[in-house]
Amino acid sequence: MPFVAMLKDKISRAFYSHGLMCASYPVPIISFTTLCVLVCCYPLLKLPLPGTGPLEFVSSEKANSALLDGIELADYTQIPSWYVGSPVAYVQQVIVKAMVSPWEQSLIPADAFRAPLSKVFEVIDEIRNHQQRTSERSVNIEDFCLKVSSLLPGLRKLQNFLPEHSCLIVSPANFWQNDLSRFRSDPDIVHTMNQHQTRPFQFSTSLKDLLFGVPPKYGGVSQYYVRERKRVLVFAITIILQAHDSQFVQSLRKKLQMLYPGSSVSRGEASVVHVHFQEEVGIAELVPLVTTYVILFAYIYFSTRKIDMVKSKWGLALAAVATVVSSLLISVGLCTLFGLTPTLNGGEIFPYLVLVIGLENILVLTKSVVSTPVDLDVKIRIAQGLSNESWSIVKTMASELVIVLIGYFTMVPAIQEFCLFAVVGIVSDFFLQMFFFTTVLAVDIRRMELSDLARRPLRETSENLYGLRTRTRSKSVWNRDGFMTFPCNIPLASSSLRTLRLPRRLRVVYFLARTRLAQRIIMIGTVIWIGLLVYTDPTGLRAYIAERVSQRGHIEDGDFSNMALAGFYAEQTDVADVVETRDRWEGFGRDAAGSSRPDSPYMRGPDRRAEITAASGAKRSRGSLKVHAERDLPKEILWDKNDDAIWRRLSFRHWPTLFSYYNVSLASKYISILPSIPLLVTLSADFARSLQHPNEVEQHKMSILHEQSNITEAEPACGKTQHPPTHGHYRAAGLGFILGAVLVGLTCALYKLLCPKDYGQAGHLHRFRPELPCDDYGFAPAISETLPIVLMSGHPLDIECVAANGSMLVTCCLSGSVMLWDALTGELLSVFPRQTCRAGESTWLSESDTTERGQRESVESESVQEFCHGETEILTDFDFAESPLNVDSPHVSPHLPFNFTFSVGTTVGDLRHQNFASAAANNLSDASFSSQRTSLTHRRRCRSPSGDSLNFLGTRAVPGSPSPSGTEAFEAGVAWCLAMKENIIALGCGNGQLEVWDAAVDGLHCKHQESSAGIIHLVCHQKSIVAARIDGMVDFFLLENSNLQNQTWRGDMGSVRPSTDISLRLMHSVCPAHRKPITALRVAAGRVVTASEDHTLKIFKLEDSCCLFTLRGHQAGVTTAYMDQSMTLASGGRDGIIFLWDALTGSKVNHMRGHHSSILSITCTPNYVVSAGTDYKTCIWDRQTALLLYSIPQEPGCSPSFGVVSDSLLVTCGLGCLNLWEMSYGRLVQTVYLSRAEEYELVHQILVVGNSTIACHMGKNINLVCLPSVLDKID
Amino acid sequence: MITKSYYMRVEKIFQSGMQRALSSVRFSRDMTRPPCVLIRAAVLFAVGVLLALLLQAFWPPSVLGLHTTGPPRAGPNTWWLFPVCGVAAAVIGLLCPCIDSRIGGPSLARQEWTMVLRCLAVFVGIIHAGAKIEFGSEERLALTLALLSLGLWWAYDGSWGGLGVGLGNAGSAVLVAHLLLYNSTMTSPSDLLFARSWLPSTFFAGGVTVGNIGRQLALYDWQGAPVKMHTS
Repeated sequence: MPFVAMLKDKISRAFYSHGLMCASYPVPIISFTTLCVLVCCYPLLKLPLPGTGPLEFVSSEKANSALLDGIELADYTQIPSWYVGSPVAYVQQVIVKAMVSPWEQSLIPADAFRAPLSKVFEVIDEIRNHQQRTSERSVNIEDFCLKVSSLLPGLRKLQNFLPEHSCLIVSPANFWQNDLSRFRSDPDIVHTMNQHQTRPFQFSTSLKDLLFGVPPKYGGVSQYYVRERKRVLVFAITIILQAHDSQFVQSLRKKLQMLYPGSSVSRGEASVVHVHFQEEVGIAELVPLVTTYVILFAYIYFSTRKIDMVKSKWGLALAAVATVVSSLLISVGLCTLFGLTPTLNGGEIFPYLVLVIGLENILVLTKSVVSTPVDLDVKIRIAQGLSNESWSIVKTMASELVIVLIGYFTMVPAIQEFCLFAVVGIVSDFFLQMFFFTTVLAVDIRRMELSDLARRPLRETSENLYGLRTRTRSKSVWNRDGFMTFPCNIPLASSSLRTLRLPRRLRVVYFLARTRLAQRIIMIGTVIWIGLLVYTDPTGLRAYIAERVSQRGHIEDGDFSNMALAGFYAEQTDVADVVETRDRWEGFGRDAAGSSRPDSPYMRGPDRRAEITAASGAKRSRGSLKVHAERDLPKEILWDKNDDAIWRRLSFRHWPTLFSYYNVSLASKYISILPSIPLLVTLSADFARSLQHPNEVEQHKMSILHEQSNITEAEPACGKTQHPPTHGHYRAAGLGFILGAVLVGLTCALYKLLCPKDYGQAGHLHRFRPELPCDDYGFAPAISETLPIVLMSGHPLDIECVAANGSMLVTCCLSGSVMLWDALTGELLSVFPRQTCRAGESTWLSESDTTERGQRESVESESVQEFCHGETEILTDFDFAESPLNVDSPHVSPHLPFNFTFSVGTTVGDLRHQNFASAAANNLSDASFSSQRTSLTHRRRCRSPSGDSLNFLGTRAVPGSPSPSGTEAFEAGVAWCLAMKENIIALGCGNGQLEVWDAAVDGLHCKHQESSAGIIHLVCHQKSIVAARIDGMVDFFLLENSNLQNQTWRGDMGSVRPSTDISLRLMHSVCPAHRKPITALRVAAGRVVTASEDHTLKIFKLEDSCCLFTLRGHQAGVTTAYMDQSMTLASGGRDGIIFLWDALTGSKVNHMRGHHSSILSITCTPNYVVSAGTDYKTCIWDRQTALLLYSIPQEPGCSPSFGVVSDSLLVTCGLGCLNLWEMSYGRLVQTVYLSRAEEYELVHQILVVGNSTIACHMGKNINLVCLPSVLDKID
Repeated sequence: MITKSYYMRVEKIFQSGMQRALSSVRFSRDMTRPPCVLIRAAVLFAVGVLLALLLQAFWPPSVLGLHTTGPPRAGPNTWWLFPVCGVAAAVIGLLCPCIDSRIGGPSLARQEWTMVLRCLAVFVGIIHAGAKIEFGSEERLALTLALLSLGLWWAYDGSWGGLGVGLGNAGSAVLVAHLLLYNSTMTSPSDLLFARSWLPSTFFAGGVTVGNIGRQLALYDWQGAPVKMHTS
């Protein structure tokens, strides 16, 4: 065990110093790690790029045969790794080039194909009948060819065209089942050839391509052959051989070349090309891939979501992912460097590797660093964070390594390889975490601190503050709906959450409007459409451009129809475009066929084509049929050098497709392509004529007739007039226009429907407009409706504490005077003569008081300072309090404010303290500089109230003498807290004294002083009073009255003396309830809750003061708590986290993160939880789901105090005003200005009295704001 | 007339019932346990079906005894596997939190979505490895997969409850497979080997994974299983 402890210690020390180093030299370390990564990744360059394209390897025919004969080749270097074993098949192509020459006038276009194609039958017969005699026996093609079984069941319709249960020999003859008579009787061979041409994309292989064996544009047969310039037909007879016998192939070659003498071409060295096909990615392979990647991304999402409290969340997330990915790269690179070739599919195992390595360490690091004290230096923070987590990081890494090593001993090669990668990856990930990520984190934390400083200016002078205020005032404009466009707008938590409470219809509409979904869909659709247009080129645009480029301007005008036709011209001129144009005309052809199939299927097609031809311009088309054919006709067929490798231009899917028809997979195998056998055939015109089909001849004649008649029609008219066939185009164009108009109309209608009419006008409030219930009633809150009642109180000093029951308001100022007000009318009901002015005392402010206060402050400062590290917070909080002070007493001596700032800074957690502190400083300054005046005022005040109150009450109280007990020289402590329940007013003093007053008779019931520790929190509940003292003690008092008749209230107008029977009994005292100062005390539903700086909350039973639960969960001091009758307890901590507890069971229900610094106040309503923090924002949370609904930013300088009126209206402080927010919509309902523009006073605290009145105390005054109008509307 | 009024009444009752049902569905967010449990069950069912689909996608059809030459999809009589897997997943996922509350589950630190996702990924990896990697023999395959599944349990679950659930799941899966074999629903020589080598470890890992998911979902159900942290 000591060894482990020692190890732990050493590791944490090492991590500490490492963290210091990383934070000190960020730039060199980052560049060093980048260099390391790059160096380690260098070997990756040697790896082949992944791809599915086929690989080729060329070997000379001799070498190939030598290899097959078993002679080892000396040169191994060039042989790829896949060239092992025998190929799946050998492909021998016999390429036939044939043409009719010389071309004669009397021939019809179809002859150009019919005659050459007929040769294929001959050649095939020759091949099949070829016998090679060897010494032993004679062999024929059947002995070598690849025998195939039946086609795949899904390919029934190709059954007639592809061989089954025989040699795999494919040629165009398969179209006619290798039957010459069938071919001869076929009236339209082109149609037959093209009937299976259905696939629109070039990279897929159609049946025609398979049978022709040459790339489509070399074949010379297009569906619309009439205008075809190229009259040389090229096709291949593809023989798939199972075994390669060069002698047999040579003999076949010789024989064929002998038969067709023109084909003896001089050829270069014949070479065998081996084509390797890689593993194909099918859907079955994609499923795991997609699954793992989905899991990976979900994992990354969930991981990075937890990164919090940093400057750039995305930056850190990126760094984390980069760390993991580059560690993987390093791992692969290192493994390659040391001779291990990865055999696994990188893309497949990548997600697993990432997930095995994981992002956890990074998150743990981040969290640990972030949770270090903020006031430390960045370096120290990083070092501390690292050393805190060092042991767990090392432990995790070790256990991971152990697991992976266990995997290594499974002795399965694939798993071993994976484990090897994982081990190296884990180690390199550790390295990168330590060097790269830590440094990035350091940089980020430093940036955050800098930005924090920049965002919150430390000392904002009062002039600035005021300037800002007036600007704000001038900018707040009322628009025509009566809503204020206040600059203090709400950045809503999340767009999806905002509409939670809307009707579904509106939600849909808002969703559409917000995401601009319709526009985006239309945009994407347009882009896709344009892309398709460009790809398929239906208007022949590409050809048109090509033609324009080649300076053959046939186009008279830029008409659309002409443009379309231009492509047609281009087809003749540009061979390269045959494919596209063929596709283009295919559509037309199909249309035509569809419309006219019933009468004569092969009459109409060519007829239409001829029409179009004729329409393409009168002058050009005259005689074009023949002239063209003759003009470009080659005199002789030549065997081009490129023709040797004609198969290379086939689609790379050609061979796999062919083999896949017979369920033979070429994946990760190879085939060998033998040098092709060229045959050049020239046919005579007579031969061609002999093969003519009567139908074709007839068609031709008809088309020529038609053409001529068209020309005669067209000639009188101008060349630019409308040609009859273009009607189709115009029809299409017209239809397009109509469709477009309809679409535009529809879009307009949709737009009108979806978007508000004044869309685009300034102000975000427009979006909210339709969802407001008040809007239907023409709700327009007027500014004058809720003018605040200012209670120009008689308090000589700033009000220290305020308490209220439903109808009365008690205030207490620092001077100790307590006043009672009517909360509805604002009348002063009475002044409690708490201060007895004893003669001979020139000033009420005794020395003991001052020392007492000082003592309290020092106690608080000591206790709080341990927890409060946020200097920025302290200083900004200081801002609130400083400005009124500067206004009120500009001539404060230099040493006093110093004290003051200190006290404010240390009591930052509690607003009340801070108020107290400001008031105290005020008090001190007053005391020291104008003590004379103060004392005079006080004396006067002390005398007058009794008379005032008597006058008002009309009761006959004893003038001048408050109460019998009061007249005794009782030492009045400084009031620290105040609580009120019905008529009982409880007052907690700094000297530990608890006084109980009666609001009905202005008298002191009793007082209690046992402890000298000041009471900082006080609550009344029925007959109990609970007091929290500064030393962490909680006292439970019970009010006892023996005589019930004496319980008469103000309403009875009884002039009963305060019954001395009411006595205060200390029932129980929990000592100490908390080790650190108590920050909040609440009572509800028979439970008492105390929150403390010691990170815990305690729940006591009110009756017997027994501690039920200690709630642990906060990571920092608890600053505030709230409990309602449903026993739901909300607590907010110094770390900005809010917890919801169930006070009945003591269990944690939920927690909410959203504040960045201490939470100062918190309240629950049935639906919401409202919290305000020192980060200048008030957040509204959903109570059930703990989701942040809205966050309302505060203006700097305002108190974070807020109130909730009738569970639906939130009141926050503004600059000299109150803002009323509707909680369910997060909307600013109204702004109430508390005073004139010139004399702003900051609101210190908001207190909701009753159901509709807000009391806000600001300095010496209390303002009462009644809100009946707004509440009526809301309810 | 009587029948008509009767029908109307019945209809009215039915409508009101429907409305109540609808409103209960609509406000299920505010309701307490039963809808939450239902939602959890539905989610777990979907997870189970997805995992079953994934298994089918990974395993070559020859292994599953589907020797048709057609497209490699499920045979006509294997569709019921998916709902069965879904129901099993729902049962396991709902059972796991209950077991945890009895005998103590994995530590809270493991109950995070990231860990659950890692667990899921490792599970997929195990299936993947079993389907793709060429093992020498069936015994080796079975051994490796069993090792991997145990590693998964150790790394991402680590509780006795999870182990028990996984073992139960594997056992029942093997039982069902054997029953099917003896009833000659799946008859091929490779089936028996398949049932003995792949099924147990795969279903063990699957049980652990689904249990983890169920636990994680149960955390959302905060009224049902709050995290108790109090001392007095």
